[in-house]
Amino acid sequence: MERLLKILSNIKPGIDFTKEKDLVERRILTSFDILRLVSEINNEFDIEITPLHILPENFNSAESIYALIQKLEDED
Amino acid sequence: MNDLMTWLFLAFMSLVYVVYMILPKKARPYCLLVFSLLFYVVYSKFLTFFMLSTILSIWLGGLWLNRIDDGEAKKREGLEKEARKALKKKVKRQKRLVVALIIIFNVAILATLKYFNFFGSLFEGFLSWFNLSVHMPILKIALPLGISYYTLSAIGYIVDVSQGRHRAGNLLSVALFISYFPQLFEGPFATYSTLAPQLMAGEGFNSQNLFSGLSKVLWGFFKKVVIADRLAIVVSAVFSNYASYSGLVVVLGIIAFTFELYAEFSGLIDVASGISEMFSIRLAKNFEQPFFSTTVSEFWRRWHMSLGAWFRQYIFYPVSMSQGMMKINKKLAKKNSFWQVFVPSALALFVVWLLNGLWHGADIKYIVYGMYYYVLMMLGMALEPLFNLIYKKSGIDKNSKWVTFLKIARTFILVNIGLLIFRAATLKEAANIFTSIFQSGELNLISLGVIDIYDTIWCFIGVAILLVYDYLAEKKKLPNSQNWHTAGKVAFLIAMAVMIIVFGAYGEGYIPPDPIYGGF
Repeated sequence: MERLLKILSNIKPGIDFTKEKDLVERRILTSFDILRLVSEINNEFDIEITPLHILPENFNSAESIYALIQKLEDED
Repeated sequence: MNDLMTWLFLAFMSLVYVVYMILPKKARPYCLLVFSLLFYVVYSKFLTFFMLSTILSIWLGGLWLNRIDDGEAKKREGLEKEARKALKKKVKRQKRLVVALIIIFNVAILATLKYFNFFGSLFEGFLSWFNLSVHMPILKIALPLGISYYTLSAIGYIVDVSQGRHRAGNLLSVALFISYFPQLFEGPFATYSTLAPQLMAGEGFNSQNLFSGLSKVLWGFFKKVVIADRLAIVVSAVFSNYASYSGLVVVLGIIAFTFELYAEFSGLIDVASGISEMFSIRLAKNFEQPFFSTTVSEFWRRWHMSLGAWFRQYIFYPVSMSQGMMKINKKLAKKNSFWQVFVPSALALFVVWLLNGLWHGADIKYIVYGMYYYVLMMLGMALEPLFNLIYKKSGIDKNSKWVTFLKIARTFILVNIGLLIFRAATLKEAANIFTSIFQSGELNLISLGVIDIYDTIWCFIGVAILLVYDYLAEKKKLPNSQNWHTAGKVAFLIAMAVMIIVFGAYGEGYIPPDPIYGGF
């Protein structure tokens, strides 16, 4: 989780990602941010997030993003 | 839509509503399908064939994909990891082939009916550079109603089934998803996973939904008949005779078109959403106070949102996250995080805006319209680090009220220039209208006698009503009708209807303009 929070605060400084639950709906993360986020997560965690996983419910909070990472790590 | 058509549509809608509510729950989806197809046949006649072939193609394609998935699930049992990986790869290839076939089939119909003449003339022009004369045949066939909408929805459906977002639907739900009548005129785009369960639920009478749906329908008609159709008089006067007007009037004409399009398009979407809401079916949101946007990117997240969502889901992410793009991304990540986002975004957005332009129409001006936004967005991304540096060095708070106001004003001006390209008959005319802003003309609107002072005042009041409504929506201060007394609700609906009848632009000798987005 720590690694993910570091990536998130690099992309969007000043947001409390431990509390925010509507990152996509409130447009805190735009499609460009998600693109960068996916690329950095893929590199950092050695997984492959594909367009199939780009759903608001997967990116609305740090927890949901982390849950997606864990799911993809398990699939590998 | 002329007066008679409007009344016929309202009578049709009332009939559907009554029959739907009388029927038992299980029969209601069939009722919606029968009336939707009936509506389509009356409106599009033999062109219904094209919609039916789209329905059949994606229904069969979906079943085929399900069969591939089910076959894989059975074969996987007991396989080693490597064998499972190989099977997964093989299945992925098979599914890609099915999806490609279905997409090619449906895009071919759309391309032939909508773009054949345009690309034919481009081809003729291209060959004439080499002194070759070729005459392409000209297709004289009308466009089936809503083809640009339902084709994209159909593509979304088949992609979603292939990616496992949902299972393939039965023929009833797929046919209803594509042909559902309120969304055929101007959308909004729907995804199968959100719309089909509601269509199949067959929800019964709900007084609150009936009231909120009717309110939306009336508000939509108000925007169309009272605001948009009156602004259309100004717009058509200015655009057809721009050289005679003073620069200020030309600017007002361009702004009037922006509000005309907004009032009309969002109004007709409200009518579609309102009708659906009466059946307890919620359509996707299509507008969210677009003129409060601080950048053009944000504008497109608030304007025609369902089209933007479709392009984001089915073009932007698949292109920018393709394997080739991810390799480039990985290389750039080592150097600079800015380029890591900029390069894939630039390539993906180019495809998005080229297709977005073409979706709006088969004409060079629409491609330029798309490219205009592409260039603006790329400039916005490229200059963002520079602007951030300026804010930092100068100590200006980029979130302060006046900076936000300036950003909103800038975005509004850029959007108006884009819509000038959209509205002008040709690119040359758009350029001429733009330059006429800086030239002096003698006429003002009233002196020309195109509209009288009553209409002019209503134009300003109409735009003010739109902006006040959006302001309240932006601040989340719109009144909530849920706790209103029944008498209050009825009085509200009657008042809205009276407003439309008294203040609407219609009557003898008045020819209402065709819906701007209706030809898609």
